[in-house]
Amino acid sequence: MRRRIGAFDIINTLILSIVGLVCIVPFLYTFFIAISDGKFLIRGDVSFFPKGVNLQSFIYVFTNPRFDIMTGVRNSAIYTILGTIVSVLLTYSTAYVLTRPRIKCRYLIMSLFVLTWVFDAGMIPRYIAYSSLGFIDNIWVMIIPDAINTQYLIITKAYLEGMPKELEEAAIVDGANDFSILSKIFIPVTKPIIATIALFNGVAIWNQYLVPQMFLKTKELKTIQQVLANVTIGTEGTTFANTIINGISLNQQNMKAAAIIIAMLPIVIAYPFVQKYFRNGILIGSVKG
Amino acid sequence: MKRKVTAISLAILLALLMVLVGCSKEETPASSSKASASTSTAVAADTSTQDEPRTYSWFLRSQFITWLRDLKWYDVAEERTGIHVDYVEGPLELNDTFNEVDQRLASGTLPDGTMLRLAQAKVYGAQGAFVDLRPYIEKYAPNIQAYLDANPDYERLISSDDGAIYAMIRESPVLADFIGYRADHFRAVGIDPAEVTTVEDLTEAMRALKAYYGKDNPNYYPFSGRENAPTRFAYLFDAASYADAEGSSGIYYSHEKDYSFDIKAPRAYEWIQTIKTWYDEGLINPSWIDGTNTEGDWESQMLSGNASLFLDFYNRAEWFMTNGGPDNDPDFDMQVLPWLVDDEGNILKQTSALLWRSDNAVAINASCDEETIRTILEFIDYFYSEEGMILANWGVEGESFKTNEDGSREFIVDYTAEESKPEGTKKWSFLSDRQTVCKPVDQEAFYAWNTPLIAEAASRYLVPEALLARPVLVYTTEQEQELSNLVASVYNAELAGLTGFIVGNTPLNEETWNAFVEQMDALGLQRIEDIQYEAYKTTFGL
Amino acid sequence: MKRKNNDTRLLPPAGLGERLRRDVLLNWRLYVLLLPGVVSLVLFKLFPVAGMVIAFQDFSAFRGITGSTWVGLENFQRMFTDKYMLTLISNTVIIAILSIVCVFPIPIIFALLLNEERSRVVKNSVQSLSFLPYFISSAVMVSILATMLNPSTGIVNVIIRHFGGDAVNFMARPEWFRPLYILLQIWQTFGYNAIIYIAGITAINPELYEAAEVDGCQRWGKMIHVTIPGISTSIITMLIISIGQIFTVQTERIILMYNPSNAATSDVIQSYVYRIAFQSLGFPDYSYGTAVNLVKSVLAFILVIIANKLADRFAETRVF
Repeated sequence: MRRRIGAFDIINTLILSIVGLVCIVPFLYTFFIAISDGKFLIRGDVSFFPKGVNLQSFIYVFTNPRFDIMTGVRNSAIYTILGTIVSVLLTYSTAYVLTRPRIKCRYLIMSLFVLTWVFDAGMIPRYIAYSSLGFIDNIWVMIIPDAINTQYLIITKAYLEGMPKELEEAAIVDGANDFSILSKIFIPVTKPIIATIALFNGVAIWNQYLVPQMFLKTKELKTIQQVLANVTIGTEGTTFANTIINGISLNQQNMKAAAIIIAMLPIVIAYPFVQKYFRNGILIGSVKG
Repeated sequence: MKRKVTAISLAILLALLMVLVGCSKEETPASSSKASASTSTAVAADTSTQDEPRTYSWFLRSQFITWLRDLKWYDVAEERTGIHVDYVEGPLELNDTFNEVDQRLASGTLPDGTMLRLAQAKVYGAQGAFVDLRPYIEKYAPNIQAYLDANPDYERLISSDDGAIYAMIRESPVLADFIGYRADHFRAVGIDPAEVTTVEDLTEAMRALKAYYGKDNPNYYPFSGRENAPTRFAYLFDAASYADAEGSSGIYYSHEKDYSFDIKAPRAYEWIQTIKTWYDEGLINPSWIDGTNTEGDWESQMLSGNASLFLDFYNRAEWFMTNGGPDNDPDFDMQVLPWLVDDEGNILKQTSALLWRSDNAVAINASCDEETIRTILEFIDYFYSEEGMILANWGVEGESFKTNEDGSREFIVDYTAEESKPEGTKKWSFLSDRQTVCKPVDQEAFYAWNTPLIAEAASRYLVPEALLARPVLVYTTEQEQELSNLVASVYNAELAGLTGFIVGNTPLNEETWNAFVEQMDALGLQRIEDIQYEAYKTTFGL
Repeated sequence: MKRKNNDTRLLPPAGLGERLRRDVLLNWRLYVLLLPGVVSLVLFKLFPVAGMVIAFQDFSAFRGITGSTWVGLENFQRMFTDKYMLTLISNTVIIAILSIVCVFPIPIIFALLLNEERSRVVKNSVQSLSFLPYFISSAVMVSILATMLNPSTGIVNVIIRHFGGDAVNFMARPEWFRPLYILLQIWQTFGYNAIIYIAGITAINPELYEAAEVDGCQRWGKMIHVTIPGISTSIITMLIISIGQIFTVQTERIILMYNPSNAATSDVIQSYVYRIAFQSLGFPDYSYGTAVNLVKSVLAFILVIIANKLADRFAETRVF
């Protein structure tokens, strides 16, 4: 049943297009600032499109010894990869066991997870607890303590509970043990939830700012988010020295913009390929939220 | 339902159990890491042969480490003492560094020694975190001992109530801020800098500059700067904080130079009103007032001609000349404005740095063994020896300075050539205002190590009659702790209140001003002043 | 709570020790799998909760929990006399309420508009773009905001000046903090939250639309009589969840957006706690910060429990 395209459709398409633009324009604008010549910026001559296009700011940001962006990117990548693997393993295996009726204490354990999730201990007790466990200046602080996010544990558990009971029963009849049931039967059929928790955890670790800021003090261990926030928002105003290279002015504005672009690039590049999983993941999470 | 109840009560039980477990755990990793840190140094000390230097680890603001690594004289000092310091990098900013000392204490990750606030050293020292240096100084550090004997004021300042010395303080050179101005801008607009002698003249000059340069550049504001915009100008209105025999007003504690102000001063109202006028007329950079102008922003404004005046560190005028000014604009010419005077022609006295600043102390971790303490003290002691003082203030004879026939010394390396070397290159540098190591300052060398522009201005303007008297007060540990906490909250509230008046969030009139002062008193300003006065009386035996 | 763990295996009656032995023998593999989870629960979730006892101490960074002196309820008494607490609480609550009132309806509207879109290309690409902001970190987001709002070079002020206005330092103005925070919140979450509604709309039985058409409903009629009722359960659930999380503000974003100039509105409980513990100009006040946070946590806990009960009753779903 086809209807004519009316005024509403046109306006609606227009609104939605604007909404779509609003989602990417800030990134585009930041990029334009990064490639603009500082002398136009400082006078307020750049409204949206770049002036004096050049890539000096990126070169500067990459080569500045004080602004260790590559260390930040490398660290964040390591933490994200390790952290994602560990959190998927821990979340999945915990959720799996907690859905097995044979385990008697599963309600107690789950209640404790939920309780500590709803009742927030706060940053200070967490800081004191983790530091007494030796997590100061220790890269594992990015990987171990938050490996099990209770929200994802709930989602995973709900998903596994939705699996037909016959799956396991048939396997037991065949003489399989718990390890082989998990690896041969459950994991293959629950790939969507694994992809989901992997992606959510991965993004969360990459984007973490407060945790590394509280625990990772040594320059060599800092994440990209810390490195970025310190120069763009913090008071560390001396990291970027205003200079003129080949007649191009570099000032705080275009250098900071270049740093922002580099910090978000991995997410933006990966996004088109994984956004499908994100969408599914959100739905899995909400079906039996 | 029942199961839920049991679960929750069990959780609480478990939580309580964890307290016990946690408490016993608390000690182990902390002490073991400390132990390993000090044993490693101890081992290093024991096995030290002639070519193996003795070492210890030291926590320091990262900026200071960056500076230290480039110093030629520092390398000579390590070589001569046979002691090598492994610096542990702190944050880039000073205050963050002090915060990290607290955090490292909490987590037991403090190295053998650290820089810190005097208040921290006294409070945590009394709890057992730091070594009482007194007996060790006597034993291992004859030069420091001599310094203590020669400066009883200093000894009292660093001593805790129990008589222990948990920290030492470095000496600071006497210095104050200068107003720098673009001489080329003044010429273009037709302002004679010699005519700018009072605050009114300054305002008029800014108006002229604004009319000329602000006409087609909306980002031009004649005056710009970084950090604490309103408070920097307090001295122009006799509104600096003080402590004397009559009493004390404003935050005097640890705010000796940049942030010294007194909202109860007779002309404090006029001070804020003037800055409000500057703000309203666009004469002063609004982001600076808002507190969002970073050092980098300010530098970029000065370099690109978006500002003509600043009030900052005494050698900054020179810094702009050698760090891109003329590259941006061949006419770029930054000069230093003489002190301003009041209507009667009296010099408006500036606040200056204290000889001993309480926020630049050094302390030794209590977990260190005697060998490490000895190493640390011997290294610091070197800078209190005759030879060490010459090295740190003048360098090496024949390389960086020469001795004239009359016995005076003179630098033979060029200031500009040395200071403009890029980061990471070894150079001669004697900017003693930077905390490098704890040492006495040779004021003569400090001024001599400058370009003619600054050296001349410093010798002319940094004279006693232009600087406010800044007595060093001795506080008890309890006073230090209380002041430290009170100042933290009151200072921010004062700054927020003043900013609110200037930008117009709060209307400025006698009534609102008095209410503001009362509010600050209630918040703790009055208490701060009482403690300061108390300390003044004890310090000077009144 | 339903009983679903009726064990089908028949075991002869035995003592506790014997039953435990059998249980372990039978299920040791599962216990091995569970072990890391339990360790993580105890060390990283329960241990910090236990650490909250410092709210009843005068905690010294050096002395630790065992060495610090106990002060009873002193920190809580101080809270009740601390005038700044009022500012903090009202800032926290205002931000939370605004987050619900202004942020909550946007994804619903977006989902409805998207549902009406005829062009598949526009529909899919806009939806794909819409949840990109959700995955951008607070640090990047606030940095971009600061770039766009920079008083001298930012696009917003360049445009304001172009039309003859005066530049505004948005990031330093207390009156602008809340709008900016909410704007970021909308920008970051609308696409993400809309996914749930979009899925709900897709699940509506097409026959309902046909029936509505037979009844003479036009586009608006169908939206009001079919689409919205079709996702009403989701709407109610989401609403209750967000009310339950009223105290959950975006701490990272607030800490990054906070500066002394906008403190009058931007300082909330979480940012205050962070600041007095980790960015203090004096001695860090771990104990007071924990006490303040403890009160907040208790209130938040009660709210979440109520919300969960409400969701269970009215929407037949539970958050946990």
